[in-house]
Amino acid sequence: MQAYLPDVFDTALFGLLADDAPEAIAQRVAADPGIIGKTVSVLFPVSPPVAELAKGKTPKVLNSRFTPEQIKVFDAMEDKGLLRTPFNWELFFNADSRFPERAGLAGAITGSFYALMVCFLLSFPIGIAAAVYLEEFAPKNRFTDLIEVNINNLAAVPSVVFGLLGLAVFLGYFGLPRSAPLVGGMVLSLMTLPTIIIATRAALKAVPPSIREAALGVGASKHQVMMHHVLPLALPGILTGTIIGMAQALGETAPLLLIGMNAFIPSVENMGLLEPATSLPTQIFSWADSPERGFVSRTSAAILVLLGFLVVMNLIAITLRQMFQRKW
Amino acid sequence: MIGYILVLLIVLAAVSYFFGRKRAVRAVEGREYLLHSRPNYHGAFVAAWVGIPSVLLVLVWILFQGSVIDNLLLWSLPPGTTDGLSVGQTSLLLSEIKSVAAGNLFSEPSLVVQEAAERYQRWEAIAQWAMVGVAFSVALLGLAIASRRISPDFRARHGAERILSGLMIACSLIAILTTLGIVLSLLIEALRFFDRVNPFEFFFGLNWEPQIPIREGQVTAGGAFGAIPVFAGTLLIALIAMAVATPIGLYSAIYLTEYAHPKVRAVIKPVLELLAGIPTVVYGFFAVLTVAPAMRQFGEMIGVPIAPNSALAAGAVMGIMIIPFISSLSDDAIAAVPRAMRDGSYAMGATKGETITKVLLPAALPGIMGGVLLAVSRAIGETMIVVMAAGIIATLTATRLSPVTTVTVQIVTLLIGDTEFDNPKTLAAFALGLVLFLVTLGLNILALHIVRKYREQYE
Repeated sequence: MQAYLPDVFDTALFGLLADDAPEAIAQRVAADPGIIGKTVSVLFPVSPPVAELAKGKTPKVLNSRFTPEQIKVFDAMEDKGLLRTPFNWELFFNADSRFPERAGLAGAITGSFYALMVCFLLSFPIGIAAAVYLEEFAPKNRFTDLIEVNINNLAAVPSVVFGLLGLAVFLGYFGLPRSAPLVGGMVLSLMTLPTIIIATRAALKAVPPSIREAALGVGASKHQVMMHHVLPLALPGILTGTIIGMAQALGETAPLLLIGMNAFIPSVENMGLLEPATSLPTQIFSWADSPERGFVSRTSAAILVLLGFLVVMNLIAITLRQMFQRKW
Repeated sequence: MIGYILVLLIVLAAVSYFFGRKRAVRAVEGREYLLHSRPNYHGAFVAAWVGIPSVLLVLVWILFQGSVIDNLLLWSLPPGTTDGLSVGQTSLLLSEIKSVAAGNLFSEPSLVVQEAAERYQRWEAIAQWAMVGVAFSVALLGLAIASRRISPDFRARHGAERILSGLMIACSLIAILTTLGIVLSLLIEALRFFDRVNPFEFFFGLNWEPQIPIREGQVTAGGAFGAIPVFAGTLLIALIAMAVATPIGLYSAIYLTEYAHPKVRAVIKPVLELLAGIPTVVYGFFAVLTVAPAMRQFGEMIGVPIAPNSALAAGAVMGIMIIPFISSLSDDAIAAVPRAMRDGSYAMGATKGETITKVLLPAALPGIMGGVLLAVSRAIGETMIVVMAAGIIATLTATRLSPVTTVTVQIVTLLIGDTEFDNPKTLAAFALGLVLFLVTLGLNILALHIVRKYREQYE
């Protein structure tokens, strides 16, 4: 850049680049001292104000965030075609950073993945078992009525209350680590359980009684009817409901905030079930709260990523339903 | 470590499945028709006896190991060390011991702490190995008991099915445990809060300033916990949301059930329901970035100052979020009105519009009311939109244009980044949570009651 634009100062130049550019250059020179004295072309992200300038969002004249020299450099760079706007893959592969131009979603995606995995492993078997019991085996009495009313009410409890429960019971009473995906997944699974139970019961109800009667007629026990015939037939419906529940859990923010799953994760290494983590929605929340203007576009991109995941999950649910739906 | 133990136990259970199977087959020398139950059931019975008690034991052990060791540690400290320490200071001492034990030395720890740290390390190791030992001996014991029972006459299928039923009952109890957990944790923490703050002040006080001086002599507000402004803000925002959502949701439901062509309906209905699937944090960002500035600009245009975090922006966006609720519940209610009532109205010569306003809506009103109540409870409990778009400072205001705060905003701001459980500031969040839980629960029960009662009328 200096070669192209001999009449500018270093400081004016570096003000245009990302905050970590000087350090990165120094590291590169240290790694390969041979490049001293040569002209090497490197590509750097520009600083957020410059990005806005390049997109034409802020006026060029009388802009208080740039010195006149910087504007000159910018114009010269634009004239010589030195500015590029490639697709920003760093968004997916970098972890969080204080600099918006370097911040990425890798940590958030990993954290969300862990939490959802825990949530699925807990709520899927428990939800199916509870639904099968309530729908097929439970005697009709006051106690099972109580369970049913309970499940319906749990589905309508505000999510922030589940966060309070997680904070008081999982963190306060059981002493599990704060910010951990394990706790996040446990709280989310309590929230998804009612969804899965209700969906599973609907799917079980949709299996016609003739199937049950036929199986009972050839001498199967009640459990065998259930495990060998009804449950396999109801599985597509159950899976659809589960995926929709998982999609809800993926977008849930408030309970994760309360148990502290909005940690600052600058690197994806040593993330685990018990290590501090962040998740996609809480990452969106923290970025939306950041004062730097560069985070506005990052937040929007993160939201698109989140919505992309949700759309994919819902599409899978819809195709599952259409592929395996049977008319009896 | 614990993960490996659990995986190992599950592998052990899987192995013992095949063991039980084989043993059953061998008991009848390969003539399977002599067995009462098929070999699979013998295997499943043995696996359940091996896996379930040992895994349960490990889980219970994990839950209680921490607090047992903590208590042992406190008890083993030289007499007089913990005298006169508050709960918070004691837990601080414990975490100091633990961090010394983990090798993080920030400053020279005292002799007492060092000794305790050594004890802690030793006990942790002992507890871990004791758990492994006990868990595996329970598993082997289960194996011995179960495999001794295998014989041609043994009714393994009945045993396995009974175990499965028990597991299913336990799973359906989790829903009750969750509710119980919510109620108990909220109640206990809220009672601790009311120990420190007069309930009368909380429910009727007009001043909400939960900041408490952390150091002595720090200049802050004294910490006032009158929640009326918070409740008022919540109601205001919920009211605005309902003012947006009720007409739009109701009218779109009427249009969709009565006027829309089936093809149009097939497109619009999923799109409306899509709104319900968008995460609320996205709505919040939308409110902050788009709606609030637009409203401020509009306010400037007509000469009214609108604060950027006013109730108007948050309420309006929340209203959009709630539209699908109201529309789909009203849709159901209108569709449930019997065909005969519609036809009767047409036969009397009423127009379509008259039928809708004079016959359908009155008949569907209870269902619609139920839907609206459910939506109100949703609006009160909604968190992220208001956390991002509404204010934090509680001011008692009746205008929609100045910043307001809500119950959920206060819960989140009081608890973020703060884990100390013994100051009124964090406990206040639990008191607010209790109020929130009770109010939404009441609204839900009322709504379900109305809807159910109405449904029975036409059946």
